[in-house]
Amino acid sequence: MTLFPRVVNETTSRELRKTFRNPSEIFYPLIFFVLVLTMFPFSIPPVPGLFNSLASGILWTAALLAISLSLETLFKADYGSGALEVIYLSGADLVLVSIGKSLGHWIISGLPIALLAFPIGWALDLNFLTLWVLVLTLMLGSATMSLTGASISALTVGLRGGGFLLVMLTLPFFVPLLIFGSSAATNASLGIVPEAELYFLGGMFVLSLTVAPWATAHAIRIRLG
Amino acid sequence: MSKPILEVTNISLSRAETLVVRDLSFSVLGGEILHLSGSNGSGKTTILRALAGLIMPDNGRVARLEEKLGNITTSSHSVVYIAHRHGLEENLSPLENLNFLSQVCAPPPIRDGISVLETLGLKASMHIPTARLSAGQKQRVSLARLLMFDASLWLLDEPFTALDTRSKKQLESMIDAHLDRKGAVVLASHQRFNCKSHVLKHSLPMII
Repeated sequence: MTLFPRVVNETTSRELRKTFRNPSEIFYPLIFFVLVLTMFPFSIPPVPGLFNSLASGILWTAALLAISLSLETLFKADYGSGALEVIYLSGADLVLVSIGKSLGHWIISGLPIALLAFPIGWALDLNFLTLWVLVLTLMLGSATMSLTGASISALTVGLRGGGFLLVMLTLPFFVPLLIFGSSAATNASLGIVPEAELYFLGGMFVLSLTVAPWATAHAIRIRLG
Repeated sequence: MSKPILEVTNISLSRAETLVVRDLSFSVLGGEILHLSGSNGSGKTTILRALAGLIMPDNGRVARLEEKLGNITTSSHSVVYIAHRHGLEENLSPLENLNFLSQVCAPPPIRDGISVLETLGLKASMHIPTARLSAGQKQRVSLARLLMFDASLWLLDEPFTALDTRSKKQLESMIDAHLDRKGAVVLASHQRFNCKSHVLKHSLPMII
């Protein structure tokens, strides 16, 4: 008994295996995330408490940009090598392949960023509740980004300037996640229960899970067919 | 009399919005092989991609058995397309590549990755990352899909490229065996090859 259908499992494990054999792909978004966070304090006036009040927003922005930049790799290699074409012609269920790809992408980029946000947030003097809310919202938000981003990544793969187009097209979808994610963490730091924001992020995740894989499968067919 | 496995009626095809094939018609019966030839840019690959369902014809119709490719339904293994690009993930081994395909494809393959790679003489290199294989070895791994899937139509784009004499002979005998089983082959190649069956030839004119 497995948690996901076989095609999802196989696709995810293929994504993980190929990425772990070329680990620089994992580290780029993480390094970008950490670099942005280490640069920010230098650009902010040394007013006591100022950085602390901005920290969750900055963490969320850095995570969003790091994940957006990593989306380009989702289909690029498979499209370039012809492997996507082979998968398509093999009769594989592209919806399940898309879910597997998104899950693999989330495990490689969103999950480590969300987990890394905990020690970084702690170093930035965020309180314990805020840290938990931050990690939870980043997990939900990054999973939504992996799902919705996959469809735009599939649609723009192989196009000239596709990487730029991908970031430009995904960012408007990600802005609501940024608003609700960072406001949840900010509210938690002010002692307000961020119930509404968490519901919103949960809803966005469920919506993207029910719509995005079909859109991604269709986008693959458009790019190949 | 064998039934037609492929029927192409008056198709016109474009590549990057330039017409490369105009009003082409042919049919291939079970047990027949069609050799497409023509100079570079005459549209051989474009035709094969259209037959595989990867390109929609501007005009005309491509029909595979009962399946109408005009409506893009390429879900069964009625066809295996071996393209220029090997379609292999370079960070994974040949066996991992084929095992993944056999796990996700529908319907399931008729042979597993290990037995197919052994048949093709790739037993020693089946666990090495594909990136470290030679061009000829990669081509042989790509050809493994012909043996994995029970497809009636093989579409081969320059399949002899980079193959040594022994592998070339093996591919020729694979084609012969496929034709004996009343399968059909459409092959684009600049190279000469030997085949027991009569080879239908179609030379493509340059129209641009």
